[in-house]
Amino acid sequence: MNTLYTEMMTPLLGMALFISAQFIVFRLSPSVGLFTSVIVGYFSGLSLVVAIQLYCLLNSSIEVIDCAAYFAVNVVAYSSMGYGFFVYVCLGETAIRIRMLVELNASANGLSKEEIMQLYGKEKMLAIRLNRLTKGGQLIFKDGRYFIGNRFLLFVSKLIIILKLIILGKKSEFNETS
Amino acid sequence: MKVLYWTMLNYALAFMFHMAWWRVFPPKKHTLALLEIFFLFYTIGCIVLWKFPTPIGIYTPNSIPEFIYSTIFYFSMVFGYVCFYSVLEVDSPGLMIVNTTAKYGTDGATMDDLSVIFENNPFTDSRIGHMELDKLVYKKRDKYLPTPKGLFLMKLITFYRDLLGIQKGG
Repeated sequence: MNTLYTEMMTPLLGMALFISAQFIVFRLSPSVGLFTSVIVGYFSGLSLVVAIQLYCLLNSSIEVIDCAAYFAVNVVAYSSMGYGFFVYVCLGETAIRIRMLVELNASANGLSKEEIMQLYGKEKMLAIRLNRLTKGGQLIFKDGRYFIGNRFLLFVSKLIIILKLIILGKKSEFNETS
Repeated sequence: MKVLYWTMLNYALAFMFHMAWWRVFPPKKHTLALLEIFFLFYTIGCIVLWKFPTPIGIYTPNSIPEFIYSTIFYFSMVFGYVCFYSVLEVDSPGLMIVNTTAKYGTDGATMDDLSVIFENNPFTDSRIGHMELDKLVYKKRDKYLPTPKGLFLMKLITFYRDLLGIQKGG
């Protein structure tokens, strides 16, 4: 029974370490960037999950097959929570909705659609994103043109399009069909 | 093993139902509908488990700790999926820029090529629509204002970013 309680707590302990490590890394060295701090946090928590699993395997009477099942449960549960935390941390970085809510809250009498559109003019939205993407190495700016740099985000983008087609049945929110 | 089997079975059934529902009649409030499906399937699963503790060939949790463990496992997967879905349901301007740039290949994309994505401000328009539907903002005369729900969401997101000392994004 004690092993079961330990297993049950494993993803939660992993998450506690994930959040602590991410926070400490980013506060001590903001230059590493938000994404890197989240990755460091994730692997710190994952190493704790693996360590607890090894401890349970070596110090309890549970069979290897059960231990493997617990390990699968803990890694999936931990990674799901971790992904949620990643979205939570990075949401404010890119989410237009959150930024709009901040602007609406800051305005005394709210903002009209035209005022919001002005605030989020296409030049400004494009410039913010191009700056972020070139800074992150996803795009390269050369001779007045943009080129793909690091292909990771392109891979993510393709993957999301495939998943959109599978789950939503369309490539884009602006298309009614694929 | 029981926790893994039973929870995955429950999750898979809920997920298949979600896929079928979205294909036949996509709901207006996606996130709420998703949470309802996953919660409903979990509740039904628990009732079935309580009434018929050993369904044919399926290992089921039979103690309170196993049940709690299964609940943690199930809802962490639901949490992860709902977060993933929030990314999936709307188009990301950043990812669209990357995609468009990739289409230009070795020729490279100019600023004008990329600004086409933002023509007529589709993202701002779409986000306002979503926020109104989710009751995060309301309209008073011609002005949009945040609802208490919207303010709560904003504070929830900005709280941790303030702790980290990050400036606003968007």
